[in-house]
Amino acid sequence: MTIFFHELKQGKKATFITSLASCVLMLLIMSVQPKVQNQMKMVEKLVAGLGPLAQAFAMDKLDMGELLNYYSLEAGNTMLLIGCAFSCVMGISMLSKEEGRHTAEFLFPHPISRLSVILQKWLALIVQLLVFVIIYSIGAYTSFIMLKQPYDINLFLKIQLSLFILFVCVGSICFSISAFISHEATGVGVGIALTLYVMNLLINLDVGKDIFKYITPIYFTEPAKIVTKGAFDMYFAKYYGLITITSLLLGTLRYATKDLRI
Amino acid sequence: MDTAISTENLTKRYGRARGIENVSLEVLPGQIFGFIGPNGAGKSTFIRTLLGLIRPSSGNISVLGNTIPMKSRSVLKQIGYMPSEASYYRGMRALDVFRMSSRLRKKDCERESWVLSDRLGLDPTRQVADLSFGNQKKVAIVAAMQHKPKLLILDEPTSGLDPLVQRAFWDILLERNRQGATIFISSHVLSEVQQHCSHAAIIREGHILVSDSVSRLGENTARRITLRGINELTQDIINFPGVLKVDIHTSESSVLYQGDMHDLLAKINHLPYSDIIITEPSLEEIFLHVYERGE
Repeated sequence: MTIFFHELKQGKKATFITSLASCVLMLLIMSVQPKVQNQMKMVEKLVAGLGPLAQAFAMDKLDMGELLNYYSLEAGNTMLLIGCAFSCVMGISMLSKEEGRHTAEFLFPHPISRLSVILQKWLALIVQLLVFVIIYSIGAYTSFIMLKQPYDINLFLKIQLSLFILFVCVGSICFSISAFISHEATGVGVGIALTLYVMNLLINLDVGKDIFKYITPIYFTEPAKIVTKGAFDMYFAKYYGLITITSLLLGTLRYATKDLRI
Repeated sequence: MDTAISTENLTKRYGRARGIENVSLEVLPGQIFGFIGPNGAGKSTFIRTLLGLIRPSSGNISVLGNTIPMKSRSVLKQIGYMPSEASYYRGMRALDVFRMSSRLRKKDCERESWVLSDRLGLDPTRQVADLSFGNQKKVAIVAAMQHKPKLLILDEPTSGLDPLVQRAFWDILLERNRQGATIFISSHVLSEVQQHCSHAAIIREGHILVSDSVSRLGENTARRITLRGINELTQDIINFPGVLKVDIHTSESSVLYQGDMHDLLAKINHLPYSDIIITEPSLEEIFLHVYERGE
């Protein structure tokens, strides 16, 4: 597990900085919640005035006066975007950075199979995403305690779990893309995250829904949808599970047989 | 195991671009084998194919009795590889590089890494990124040698090293060779290949031009004939069949000649030279001569 621990060590600064920065942002958002709750009539008017924008962010579907609704719409959405970008950026460079930084010529002359390198690096990615979600969830839970308002903890855990599933899904797809490229592609990672996010906004606006729902996994993991429906859409959970596994298999096949560019 | 490295018609193409073409080479166990060629000749492609970093387009490779790339992993346990320009992970000390390499090999090499660092004058507690190019080379040398491999593959190992460190490096290398290690070394420095290697091969534009013992490479090629006391040569000598190269200086003239020595001596006998010196050309001259003629 040398590469697994090496990757965790290499990525720990990025993981902790992103997690803590997201946590601070989320706490700031949550600190406004009591004011929103006290001025609900004005907020409702404001949301109604937003029109399609409110629809895009699913603000028209939930009452923001409720703690968990507010969290899913504001903090959950922020976490979704930051986490998505973090997952994509970490995933897209995980394999390709060895070639991009020319360390492949150090690593691969060692007696280690490429399959093992792929597995250890993927596991390291998943652990980093888990750490991100755990730190963020602890922050969110702390804010709930401080706000002293009733909420359904099972639903909260479902939101956090759905976000973790989303990050694993997009992180793994980007990890697989990483096998096909030979340079670091942070910009591509951010681009993929933003594209998936925008597609989901369009779905909420009923634009291209029938196509985009099969492209962006945010569709079935969006916090507002989890709160509204109370559960995952299992059809799409299975569909994106299959997409993730297929992409990982393709990425593995490519990386195991490719000529390393050094 | 009859050979340490054996390739048969090994070809690697990058789309339409040439890599190496029908390279057949044999390196016997215990040899110090020099691999000579200019930049872009295919040296690194050949080495990376041996290590399984890239896959051959066609041909066969056997390293330490194992077929590559099928049995790369078991072979790599017994190989030490030093790239021409090594890159390491950010924030690592030389010591961390050695430890990571040891862990990947599942072998405790801590003591040997300190011994080698000491002999090469490397402080392994320093960050690799802060080291000079020469010291980074030392890191690569230690990483390649600390597990005492049976086969050392070294790509331009001495470039960037000062003469004292080069000497320490060759002392270690020769020691390892005496202990039974086979050494495959690619180099531009022909004098060191001539001095230390028992066999050598010359590669040009992806093709092996010649592969033989270093002594035979010297024997079988041209001679340099230096005529002291004359600073011009007649056209019939310059154009004489077998004369490969003519050098005219203030106090002497010389020709690089490949052919029957009697014929040339008969031709130059009438010239008013004060002394005549016939020498074996250096490997450098052989190297350049072979390239110029493209043989």
